[in-house]
Amino acid sequence: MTKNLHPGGMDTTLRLLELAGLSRQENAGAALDLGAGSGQTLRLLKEYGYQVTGMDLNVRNPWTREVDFTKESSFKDETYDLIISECSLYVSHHQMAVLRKLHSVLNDSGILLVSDVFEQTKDTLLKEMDDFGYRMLFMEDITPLWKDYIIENIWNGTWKETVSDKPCFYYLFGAEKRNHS
Amino acid sequence: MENKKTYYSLDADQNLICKKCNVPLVKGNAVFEYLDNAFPVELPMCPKCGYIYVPEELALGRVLSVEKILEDK
Repeated sequence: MTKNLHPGGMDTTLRLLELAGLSRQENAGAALDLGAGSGQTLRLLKEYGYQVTGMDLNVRNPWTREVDFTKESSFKDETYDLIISECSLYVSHHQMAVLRKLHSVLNDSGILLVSDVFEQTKDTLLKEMDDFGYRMLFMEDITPLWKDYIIENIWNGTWKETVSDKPCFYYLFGAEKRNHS
Repeated sequence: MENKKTYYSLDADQNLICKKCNVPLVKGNAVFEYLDNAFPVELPMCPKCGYIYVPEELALGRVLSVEKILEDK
């Protein structure tokens, strides 16, 4: 089985879907995974009834195309009912710009699901997401789980990043596109 | 039988000798403890006096990085 490379692995992905109230159905709509990696989440979203698309710098599954999603032109005229991003926005170095852009890539009432590292406190992030035109559906701080994940990887010798000196947090959240801001 | 988790394992080099007891070090169980966290490891140690050998690259590498994360926790 392919390893799911984010804190909590597939359990965290399932939790995101559960907190968003998503369930398996036919023709759930179009879903996009930013930083799709091996395609494990895309496979899961297909089971949930979505037509899936992945974007990544390295293409490692049949549903993903090579795209640098930090570029303004990445999304053309596409829109999605669901966008998911797990551990891919912070490392892109354009996290907030991409979150702002994704608002225009979502269909009306479309849902954005994120699990990622943030430098903002919860309150600051909530304010910024509101400014971008999202209505927050849920938000969980799983920073301790993220730190356990880093520690495990440091011991295994599989942690290649430098340990940041900045205080960071790890949030799971779901947000809905507000139709009128 | 309980399957005990080991975070790190290093075999004992035949050339590592305990200076005090003058016997070769053997691989044994040790625990790194820091800020209420415990990490079981396997490191070369003296079978007589229990002296544990911690390589410099381990102390200044993984151990230091883990400590840094725990201090922020």
